[in-house]
Amino acid sequence: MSKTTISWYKYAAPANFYPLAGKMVPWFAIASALIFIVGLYISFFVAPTDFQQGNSYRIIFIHVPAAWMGMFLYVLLAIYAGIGWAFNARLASMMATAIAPTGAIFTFISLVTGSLWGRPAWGVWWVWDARLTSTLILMFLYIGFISLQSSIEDPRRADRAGAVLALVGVINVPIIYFSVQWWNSLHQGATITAKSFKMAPSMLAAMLILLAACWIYSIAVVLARVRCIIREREREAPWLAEAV
Amino acid sequence: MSALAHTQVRPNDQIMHWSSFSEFFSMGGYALYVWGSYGVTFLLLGAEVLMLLKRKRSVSQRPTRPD
Repeated sequence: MSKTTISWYKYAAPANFYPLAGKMVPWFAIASALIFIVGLYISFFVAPTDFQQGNSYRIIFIHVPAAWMGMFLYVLLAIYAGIGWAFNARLASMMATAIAPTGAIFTFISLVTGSLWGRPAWGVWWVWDARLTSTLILMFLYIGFISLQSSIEDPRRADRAGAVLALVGVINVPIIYFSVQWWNSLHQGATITAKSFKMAPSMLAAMLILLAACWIYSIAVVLARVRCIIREREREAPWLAEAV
Repeated sequence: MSALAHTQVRPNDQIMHWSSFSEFFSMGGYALYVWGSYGVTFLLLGAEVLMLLKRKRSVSQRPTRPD
């Protein structure tokens, strides 16, 4: 192997991935903490007060990143679960299992912060409209995936069952995304599209920086969790005795 | 048409808009909603990190197969 090429397939093996992930976790954890601090500072001290909604709009800085993370992570979970199923790659299946709790938490955060914003903005905590209902379904998909997998004893069978659920459920993600266009909704349309953004630059900066913080946080916790899963599932493997 | 679509700034808005701590904490009357949102968020993320650390500890106490 030449010096400049990296053999990516090498890291599909848990024995090689385990120590690599262990080295990456602290860096992502520290980076996410620092980026959270910067993002929160801009959210509260740089971004101006909105002239229509006053300061209640500041919920957007955490609500939108959390909602995006819930959707992104579900797609990522489905991709990993699909790869694990199609190519019999057990590390990919373990990644799907490791992503699920974090995705569920972000989806739950988006529902709670949305509710806390809906009350002052719309006068209600909750409405059964398309955007909110499809996000609630996303939450149930995560919970369904987690409980289905934990109810099956044999890990590879649990991986396959989870993959079927994850891949069927992925249809819900575009439904969430386009729900505000397809149906009449109390929920506002997209604030940011490819062509424009309807907010002050410092507001956009706060939102995107907190999105980056959430992404890097997710990488840190998912890698830390997949290491636990590897140790739980591969405890019979000879390499593990050497690696730890 | 939703009220949330037009997030705008008045031209004379200043960068630093809090004249006191109490004004900052009251969030223009939206303290419950704003601090509630951020509180729930960081409580849940903190809980996730704590549970992971606990899981990591319990996993590393398990014996591996000596070879």
